[in-house]
Amino acid sequence: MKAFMSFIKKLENHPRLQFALQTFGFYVLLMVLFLYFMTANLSSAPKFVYSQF
Amino acid sequence: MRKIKAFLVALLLFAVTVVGCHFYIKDKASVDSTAFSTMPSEEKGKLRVALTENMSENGYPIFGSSEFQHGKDHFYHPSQVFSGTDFQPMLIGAGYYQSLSHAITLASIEGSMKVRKAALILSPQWFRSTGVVDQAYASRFSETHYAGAMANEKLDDETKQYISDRTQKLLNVDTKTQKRVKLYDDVLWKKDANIVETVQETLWSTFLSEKEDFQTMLLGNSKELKACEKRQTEAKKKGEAEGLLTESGEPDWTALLTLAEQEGEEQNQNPFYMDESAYKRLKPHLAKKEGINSDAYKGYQTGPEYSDLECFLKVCRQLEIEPLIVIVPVNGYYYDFTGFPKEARQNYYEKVRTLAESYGAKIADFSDQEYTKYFFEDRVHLGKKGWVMVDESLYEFYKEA
Repeated sequence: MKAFMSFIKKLENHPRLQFALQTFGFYVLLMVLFLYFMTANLSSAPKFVYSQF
Repeated sequence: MRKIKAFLVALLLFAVTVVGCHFYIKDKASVDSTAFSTMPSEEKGKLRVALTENMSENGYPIFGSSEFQHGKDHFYHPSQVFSGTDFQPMLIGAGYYQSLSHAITLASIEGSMKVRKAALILSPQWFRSTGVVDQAYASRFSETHYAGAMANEKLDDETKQYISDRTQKLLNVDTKTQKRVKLYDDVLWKKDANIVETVQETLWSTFLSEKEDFQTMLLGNSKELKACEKRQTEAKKKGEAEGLLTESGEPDWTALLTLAEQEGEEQNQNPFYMDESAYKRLKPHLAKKEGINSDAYKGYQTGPEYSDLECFLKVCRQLEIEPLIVIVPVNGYYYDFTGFPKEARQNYYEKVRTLAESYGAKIADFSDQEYTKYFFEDRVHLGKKGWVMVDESLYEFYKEA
C-alpha cells in the first residue's frame, strides 16, 4: 500500500506519464466495451431449449 | 481538462483500432475452410455474413432442421459424404428452424447464390397444428436476414406482407425485436420512414453487420469447425479404404447403401430399427408412449406451416430459384407403436406433395420408406440409410442441368 501511494505521489510530479496512463485507461475501457458488444448475445428473445422428449 | 484531452486521445486511438479491426475481420469473414459450409451449426444459420461470404460456386443452400445436428457424427451425414466431391452445399438449419425462417433466409442470401437451386428438407413435426412455436421462432430469429429479405426488391409486396405479419405475430414474445422489425418494414420495404428512423436503422444495421463479421471470424476458428474438419478427414480415409467412391471420386451410392445396411444389421437391432443409443434414450419413456397418438386422425394435416411452406415456394418462384422439396417420412415402426394413424401420415405426405407440385418444385419423396430398416436414427431423424438416400437425391439435383 505504501509503495502504491508513493507511486501515485511520484505520478503527480510527472504530468506526461499521468496523461499517458489516463489515455491508456480510457483506451482499455473503450476496447472492453467494444469487445463486449461484438461478442455478447444481445437477443431479447426468451430462451428456448431444444428438447427431444 | 487534462482528463478530457486524455479521453479524446484514447477515443482517437480506439477509432484507429476499430477501423483496423474492421478490415481485418472483414477479410476473415470468408472462412478458409471447405468444411465451413457443411458444418452443422445453429449460429451459422443466423449470420447473414457467414452465409453470403462462404456460399460456394459449387453448391446451393440446403435448408433443414434438427437432422443436421442429430446425424452430424454419422459417416453418412452430407458434411462427410460430400467432403471429397466438388459439391459444396451450404447447410442451413438446426432444431426448430422451419419454413418461414428458411424463406426469410433464402430471400436474404440469394444475391450470393451462383447455383440457382435450393433444397428444403421437411420434417413432419413442423406440421403440427400449432405451426412453429413462437418462442422457438423468436430464439432463432435473425434480424439481418429479415432486413435482407425486406430489402430484396425481387420479392413482391404480398409475400413481404405475409412474412411481416407472421413475424410480428410470432415475435409477441420478444417485443424489442418486434419494434425493430417494424422499423425494417418502414425503412427497407415500405420506404415511408422519417429521417430519424432511417438513421436509427442504418446505425443499428451497421452495428449488426460488424458484429456478424466478428462472430463469423470466431466461428471460423471454433472447435466446432475443427471437429467438423476432423470428421471429414476421417470420412475421406474411410471412403478410400472401403471403396465407397467411384473412379471419378463421386460417392458410390450402392456401396454406401450396402454399408449402411450392414452397419444397421450389426448395430440397430431393436423393435424400431433405430440407432441403439437413441433406443436407449427412448426406452424409459416407452410405456407412456404406447397408443398415445391413436386419436391423431388430423395429425400433421392442418396448421400455419402449410402457408409458411407456400411462402417458401413463392420466394423461390419470385427469385427464380429452383426448389427441391425433400419429403422425409416418420419411423413407421415407432409411429405405429404410438398409434398415430397411417392414413393421417399418408394424407400429410399427399398434402405436401400437392402443394410442392402446384409450384413446380422438384420433389424427393421418401414417404414410402417409413418401414425401411435403418432409415432412421431415432423416431424421426434420418439415420444411416436415410442419409444415403437423401444425400443421393441432393447430389443428383446438383448435377442436373
